[in-house]
Amino acid sequence: MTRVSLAPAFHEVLAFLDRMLALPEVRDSPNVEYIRRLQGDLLVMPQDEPLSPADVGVLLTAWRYRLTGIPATALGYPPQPEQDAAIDTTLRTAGQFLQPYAAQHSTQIQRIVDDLVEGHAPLDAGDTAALLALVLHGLNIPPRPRRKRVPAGPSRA
Amino acid sequence: MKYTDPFDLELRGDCLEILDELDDLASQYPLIGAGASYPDLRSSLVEIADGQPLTPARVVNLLSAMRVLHLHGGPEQAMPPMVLNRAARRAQRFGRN
Repeated sequence: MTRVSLAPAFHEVLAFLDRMLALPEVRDSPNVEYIRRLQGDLLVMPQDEPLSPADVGVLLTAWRYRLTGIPATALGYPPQPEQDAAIDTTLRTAGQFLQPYAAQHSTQIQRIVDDLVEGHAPLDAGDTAALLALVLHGLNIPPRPRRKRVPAGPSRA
Repeated sequence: MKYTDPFDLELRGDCLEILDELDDLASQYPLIGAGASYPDLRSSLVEIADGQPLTPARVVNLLSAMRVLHLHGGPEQAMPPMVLNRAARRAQRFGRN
């Protein structure tokens, strides 16, 4: 029987947290210590032995952030209801517009657009690139109707 | 090993919740239910909910189940309530500091 290791999962979440900590929004956030502590906790966890329930709790929290992004409230930013509502509306509207086009593409594109419809921004650079590719190349924009050329007829003059 | 403290019970409850979501998804998308990894994911969730040790194989399957739910059901469905609650509690604690 092959031995399963948690190493790839740890590698994935740690790389994600590294990327997040390089962003000014996270690096300069009020709760940056919480993210660093999360990273530190993950670094000392065993990868090939049974975990404690508390360890699994920490791992699940980091995994959740990996899947959905770190919420602003977790980073300690004060809630901004008006701005949040505006962003939410923009994301949902864009998602609803793109949904029919995304249906013709891969499940990755569909997931990113479905997230938009639920008010979640693209998770990382890869998701953003996929979304841009959809907008630039994936929309079937009908060609502009060509102006009919009127053949030159006999002059009435 | 049987878990006794509240934290363990939360984790076990979350696994049952994820199991429900996963079964729901499998009924909507037969390809997921027919997938080779589906029985493994399912049995790992049942074992964790039953209080079995959190071996790497079981935890990997738990993470995979969350990813499957995220890919097919969106962010909300992928998040066990325990994780959401803990994140909220931590945010409050840091907010007070």
